[in-house]
Amino acid sequence: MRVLIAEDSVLLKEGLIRILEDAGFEVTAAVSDAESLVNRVRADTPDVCVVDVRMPPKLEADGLEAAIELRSEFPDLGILILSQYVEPHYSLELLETGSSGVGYLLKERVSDEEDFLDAVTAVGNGGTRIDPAVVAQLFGRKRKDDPLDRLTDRERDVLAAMAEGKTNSAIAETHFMSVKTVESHIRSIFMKLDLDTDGDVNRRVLAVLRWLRS
Amino acid sequence: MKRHIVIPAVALVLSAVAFGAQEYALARYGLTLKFGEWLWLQLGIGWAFVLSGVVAERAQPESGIGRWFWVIGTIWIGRLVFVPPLIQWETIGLVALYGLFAVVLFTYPSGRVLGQWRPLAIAYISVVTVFAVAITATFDFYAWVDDPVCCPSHLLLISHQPDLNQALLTIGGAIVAAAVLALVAVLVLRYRRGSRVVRRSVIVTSLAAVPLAIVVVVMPIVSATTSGFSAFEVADAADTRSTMWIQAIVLAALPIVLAIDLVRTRYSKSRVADMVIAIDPAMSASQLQAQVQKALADPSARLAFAGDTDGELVGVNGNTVITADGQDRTAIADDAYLIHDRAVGSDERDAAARAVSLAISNARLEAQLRAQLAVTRESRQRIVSATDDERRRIERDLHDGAQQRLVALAATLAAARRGDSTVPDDLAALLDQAAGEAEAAMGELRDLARGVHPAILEQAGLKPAIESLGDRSPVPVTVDIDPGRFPSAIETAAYFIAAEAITNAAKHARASEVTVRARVEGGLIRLDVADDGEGGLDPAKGSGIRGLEDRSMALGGSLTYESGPDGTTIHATIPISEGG
Repeated sequence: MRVLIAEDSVLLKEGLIRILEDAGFEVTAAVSDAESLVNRVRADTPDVCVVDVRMPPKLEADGLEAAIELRSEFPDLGILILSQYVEPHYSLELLETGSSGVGYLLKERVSDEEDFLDAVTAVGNGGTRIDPAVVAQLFGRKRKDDPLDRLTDRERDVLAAMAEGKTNSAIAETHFMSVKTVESHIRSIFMKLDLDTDGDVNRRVLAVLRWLRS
Repeated sequence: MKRHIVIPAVALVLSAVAFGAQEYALARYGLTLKFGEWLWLQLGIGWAFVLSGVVAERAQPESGIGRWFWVIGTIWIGRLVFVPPLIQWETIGLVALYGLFAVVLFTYPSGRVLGQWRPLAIAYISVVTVFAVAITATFDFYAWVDDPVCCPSHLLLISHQPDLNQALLTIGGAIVAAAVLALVAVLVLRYRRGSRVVRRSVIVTSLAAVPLAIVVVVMPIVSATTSGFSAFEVADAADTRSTMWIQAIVLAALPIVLAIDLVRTRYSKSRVADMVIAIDPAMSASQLQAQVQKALADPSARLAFAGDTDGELVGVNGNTVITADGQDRTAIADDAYLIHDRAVGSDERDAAARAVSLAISNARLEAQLRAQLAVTRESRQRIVSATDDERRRIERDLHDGAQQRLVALAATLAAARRGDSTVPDDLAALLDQAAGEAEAAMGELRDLARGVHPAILEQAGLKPAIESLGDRSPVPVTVDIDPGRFPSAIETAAYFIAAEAITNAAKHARASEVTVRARVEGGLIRLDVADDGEGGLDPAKGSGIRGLEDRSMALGGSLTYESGPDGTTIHATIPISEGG
């Protein structure tokens, strides 16, 4: 899989290159500002970009903005955003550009190589990955007569896993359930929360996150 | 004014005609003048009135005195045009005008008859005029003119009745004398009751009135048929010549004295102008009052201000001020008054009031500015010390939190590297521990950074930042914010105001929900944060709300709040400017 890295911190950039190359990914380029990112994507057409939210020139949300811009040009491009902070807002913005091939990870997640590489692969293949910390924060929101209280513990776990972008089989594997059980939990959840079921794994991430945020 | 040329011109023409008529009469009827200078004296009186009138009117056009005078003067000269035996209005003119003098002197210096006295004045003048006509109609002045060709006598004669005529003269003279004596009495009264301003004008009027009174009262005692009424008598007595001269001097002096006074008091207007120039914004109220007294030439003038109780007026030294008899009260500004003598002219009073009002509003503005400056200075000090407090807090949090963990981390890694004496299995455990410390440190630093200045606020704007606040808030937060970006200082202020409000709602007011609303309208951001807690927001307890007020004010905005048992709402308004 061909990966492009956009990261302005030199240490982290080098670290990412090493991790990815060691794992067999082809790093087409490693840039450190938003403009170069756009140019190199147009030139190299990688499968997935690993992009820091904050980059030069403005050091605001340049990386994110560039990524969103690129998505309209390259709908199949996978974008994995790395951020210092847990901000659901960016995840939602990214998801709204189209739910496939989108990911949002905390930078420190990089130190867990397995998780990180898994995320890169998933996003490159058109899947969705949202950092568990983001999901946890959204779960932690205080709500009046919290509808989440209606869910069983297992259902809550499944909901969290859905929000992270996991497929039903992935959920079944990590939670030691059968796929059928997972599916029935999901139906139950959607009914209790009055959410619309939608087969597409990626679209449901957006639906769940939106729900959690409202 | 053109008429100030026309009137003397008319008077000149009339004088010439009068002179010509006299010469004609002398020649035509072979008459001799009893006193050769009679006409000249009379003309002199008339001219005194005409010229004084013109001068007085130019000096103070709004005073009626000037007009009275030149009207009187012109009629006086006009009545001298008589050609005996046909025309005889000389007597009418004389008597009527004598009657008029009292009225004029009553009305000095305004020349206006006050409404309530007008009917009386009109009645008096009418009576005197009627008498004048009657006196003329009942006396054949020219009986001794022996001219078979001419008419029997002057045209206004109805019937020659010397006794009746004498009676009319006596009564008429008595009426005029009574009026003049009344005038004197009034002048005395005004003097005694009036202020210095009034006394001044009484003295001036008396200079003219008293001699007039003497002449008018003395005259009827001296024979009525002497030269005062007609030039052509034959009787010849030394005292009548001197009477004639005294009469002439007194009468001529009357308008001259009054005109001089009017010219001098004209400068009272420039006194007000001087006052305006002299007024200094730094003047105290008592200094201002002194200036007003000088400008109005009224030592009794006072500045007064609305006091604490209704209707009470307080003076420049803090004591109560009352409007005395003979004084009037003029409103200057919202709650300031000028108390002055009633006799002060309306123009001067208005000009003085306007000038004082300007000075007062200047002084007020300055006071407001000073107060505002003081408030701003205090607010700035609070902001500076709040910043220092904030820095101290960060240092403490870093020291107690992340720094400790990093120290522990370093120690753990060092131990791992040493390959600590015991079992190698412990290496994995040590490294796990190290990783755990590192993660925890990262978490704490993240929280700290967010508390100092959340990155998302700068990167994505106010709405996402407050939604993010809501994620972590212990109380459910509903966000209703107009989308859009604003200058960074404004977004920061709005964010921290909302953050503080949410914290208060959760921690102190035990609210169950908070709503954050932000609207953009008319170049302002209106931020409202409402909770349903117990209230209790009090600037005295803790500096939280004060700090928010300072933030708003520092950006030219404002902050208000209501806090009660049903909840607390904070309203902040911040203008959006390009300076940001």
